[in-house]
Amino acid sequence: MEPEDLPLVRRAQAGDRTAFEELIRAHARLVWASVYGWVRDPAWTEDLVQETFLRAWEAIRELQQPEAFRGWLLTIARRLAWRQAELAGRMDVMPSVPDRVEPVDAADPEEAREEVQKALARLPERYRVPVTLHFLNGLEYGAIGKLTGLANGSLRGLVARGVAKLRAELAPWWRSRHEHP
Amino acid sequence: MSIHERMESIADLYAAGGLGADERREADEHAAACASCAALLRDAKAFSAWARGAIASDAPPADLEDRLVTRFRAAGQSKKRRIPVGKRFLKVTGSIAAAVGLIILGNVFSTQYGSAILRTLSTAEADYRSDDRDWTTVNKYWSKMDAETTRAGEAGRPAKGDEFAFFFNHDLGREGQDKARWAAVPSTVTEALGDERGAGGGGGGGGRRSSTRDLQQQAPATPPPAKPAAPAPTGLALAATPEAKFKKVADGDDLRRTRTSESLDKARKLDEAEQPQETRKIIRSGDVSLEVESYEATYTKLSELVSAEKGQIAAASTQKMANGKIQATVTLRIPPERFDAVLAKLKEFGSIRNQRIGSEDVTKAYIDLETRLKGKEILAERLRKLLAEGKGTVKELMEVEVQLGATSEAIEQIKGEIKYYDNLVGLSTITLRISEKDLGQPFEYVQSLQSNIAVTAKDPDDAYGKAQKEITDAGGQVVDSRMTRQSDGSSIGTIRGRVDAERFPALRAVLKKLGSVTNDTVNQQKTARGGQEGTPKPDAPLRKEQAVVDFAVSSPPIFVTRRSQILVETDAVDSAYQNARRAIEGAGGQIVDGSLTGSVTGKSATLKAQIDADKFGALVESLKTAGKVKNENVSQSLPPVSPEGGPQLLRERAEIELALVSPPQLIGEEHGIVKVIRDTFVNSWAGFLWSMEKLFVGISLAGPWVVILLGAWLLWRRARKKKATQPAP
Repeated sequence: MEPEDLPLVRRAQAGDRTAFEELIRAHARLVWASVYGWVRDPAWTEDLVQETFLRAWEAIRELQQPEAFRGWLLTIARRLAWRQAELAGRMDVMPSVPDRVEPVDAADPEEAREEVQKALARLPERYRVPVTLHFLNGLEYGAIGKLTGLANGSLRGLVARGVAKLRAELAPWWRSRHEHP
Repeated sequence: MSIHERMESIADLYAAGGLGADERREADEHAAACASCAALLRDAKAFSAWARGAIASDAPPADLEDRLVTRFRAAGQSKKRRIPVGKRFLKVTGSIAAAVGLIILGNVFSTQYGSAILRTLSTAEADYRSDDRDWTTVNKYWSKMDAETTRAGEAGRPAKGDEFAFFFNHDLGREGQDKARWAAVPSTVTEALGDERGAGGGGGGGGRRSSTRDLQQQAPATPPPAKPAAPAPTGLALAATPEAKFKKVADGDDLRRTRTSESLDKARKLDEAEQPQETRKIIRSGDVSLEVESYEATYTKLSELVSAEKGQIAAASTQKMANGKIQATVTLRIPPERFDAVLAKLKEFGSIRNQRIGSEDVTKAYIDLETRLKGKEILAERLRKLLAEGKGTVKELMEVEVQLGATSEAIEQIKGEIKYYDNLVGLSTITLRISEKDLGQPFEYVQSLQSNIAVTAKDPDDAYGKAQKEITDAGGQVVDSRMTRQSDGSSIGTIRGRVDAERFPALRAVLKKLGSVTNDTVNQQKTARGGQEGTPKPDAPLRKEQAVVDFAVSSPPIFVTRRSQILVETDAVDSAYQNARRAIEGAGGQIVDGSLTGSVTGKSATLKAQIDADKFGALVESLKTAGKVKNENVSQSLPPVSPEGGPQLLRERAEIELALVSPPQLIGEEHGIVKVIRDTFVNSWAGFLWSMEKLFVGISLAGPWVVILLGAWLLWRRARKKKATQPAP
């Protein structure tokens, strides 16, 4: 959590809506990246992000440690997302990596999207959030580091390992698509 | 780490744009020189670009933050913050509000105005439809008013017109919006509706009331009805015009609401004095069981009678029994006025065994139907008129048409029911069950014979063969036969044969001579066919079925006449035992039971054998030679006497029970140091085993708890560690 957030959190706790709006702007994409990994649907994700902030606003007075705002926010988001994913039966992506990847004959963008989504969803959260932020939000490392509160070195490690895992998982599928376009 | 390995590790980061400027330049330089690493980087880049492209459509909108903030503001305005007092406060206030609301509502309905609504709602339909007492009361009330011109309960009653409006308006509440709409149309229509309501719901009252009056004026007092709550008379003379009825409806409704117990009593008295019988609708029916000499003759007479009485034979079915007698069911339809006469005449046809005459009063149902019909017809007419005028919107007209269709359908249905009743009332039904005399007489008797004969013979096989031959010689046939041999040398043969009843006694005598008879029973049965036993027919023929003979022959039973128990002591029990077996078998005896056991104290054997009595003495003597005879016991018993008095045919046998034992061993007492040492070890070993047992029990009892507590402690420690290492943001 960036030091400049702390006074914002305190002001929000005192009922300052503009301060909370600042917090929304600062954390929107982080929450988005976290939720997206669970539900894999942009519209749905946005709704859940919205819901997350609304809940956070309603409960922010009860937050005991203002320094832990980011973790608290992500916890709210995760709970909402899990419940949603469970309700929709989309938790199936969670359990394990499939043994075999079915080769695909035709290049179907919809299918490719789904494959990447699933592979991304299977990544552990600490890899997934930075990779999502980088891939989908097009954020630079500095921005990601600021959002996640990670130092540059560890962030780079996480991104590199995350992408490597992603590639390892998707490689057979990707190749089958690339070599038989 | 070689440069290639390093390239491999940074390839993804390179592709993802995560390298610093220096690192990137370094990687590019190496790739320019190394083909494989260049391919590696290309691959990583291509993948990165592809993956990014694949899910690019999922990317959040660029103005994500703005949208979230906008919606946050909107939510804040519309939702506000939640009420600070909390949910419990809401629940409590909500409950109180609901309770207060219910009380107010209850108050509204408990006022006179409200109760009138309620009563109208709940009873109007039932009243009009079928509440006899109400009807009677209403009718009587009218009669009374005509007779005495007393206006009971008039005080406080609104003017007739108001009253109708009052009632009708409430009725609207029940009937729903259809009528509400109708209420808005011109007064003629309202009137029509009033009529319909009166006719379908309450019109019956109007019709009945007025007609009662008519009748009353015409007919003098008639006997009281059987039941006090009998349906009102009338209905047949629905003479009043709809307009007249319409007025009465209003009055009647009012009356029902305001009548007093006094008026009720008076009305009842009046009612009992005026029941015109001619108008009643009664279905008469009879059930008669008739016993006649001849059905044909009866039927001819019956058809003559029926045609003379202007009736008809509706149905007839006959059934011819095995003994030639006829049973029939005939249904007669007779004009009701001739019903009793016909019943009386039926007595002349034969003897009446059973008679049931019933009557069902359907007056009320009938009147109900007529009233409903009238109401529906009026409604249909008004609807047609409305339709013809064509006022109102298309939708309204459509609804009128739909309702007209439903009404016509109802009219047809009611007409059908009336027709059904008319038919039943118009002609009474007599169901005749005709049976010819002696219907239950049997036409023949059947005599069956079954006998069991059992004999014992010295040679069962011979007797078995002879018995079969005797049965065939007697002209019978062997149905089933079998011979079984037992392990003890005896055999049993059974034969089932059939033979003509006439030849059975001779056969039975012959079979009995084949051996010593142990069983001889004959079962004879006479059954009547085609009728009941209770009505015997002396001249019915007697038919004799073939006799069934169950013959059994068996070897004579074994009987032990002599028994010898010998105890022999020998050193060599084994060989003595084998010798004894051989001796018994050699002498032609049978070994029934034998055992050889060994134990610490020595060996022992027992043998049980049976042998023909004559060889018994010699065998016993030879067995005694096996060793030293310790004990000998001989017993004899006499064979039983046969049931017929003579000596019974038996196989006499002798039985030998031989016991072989080794002489007792004498073991001296042990003393000295060896015994002490041995005892000590034995005791110690026992103690060790005991303690091991306790140890295992203890472990198995305490073990699970140890595991559980250990697990709990580990979890607790882990939780504490986690808490301690959580990063402080």
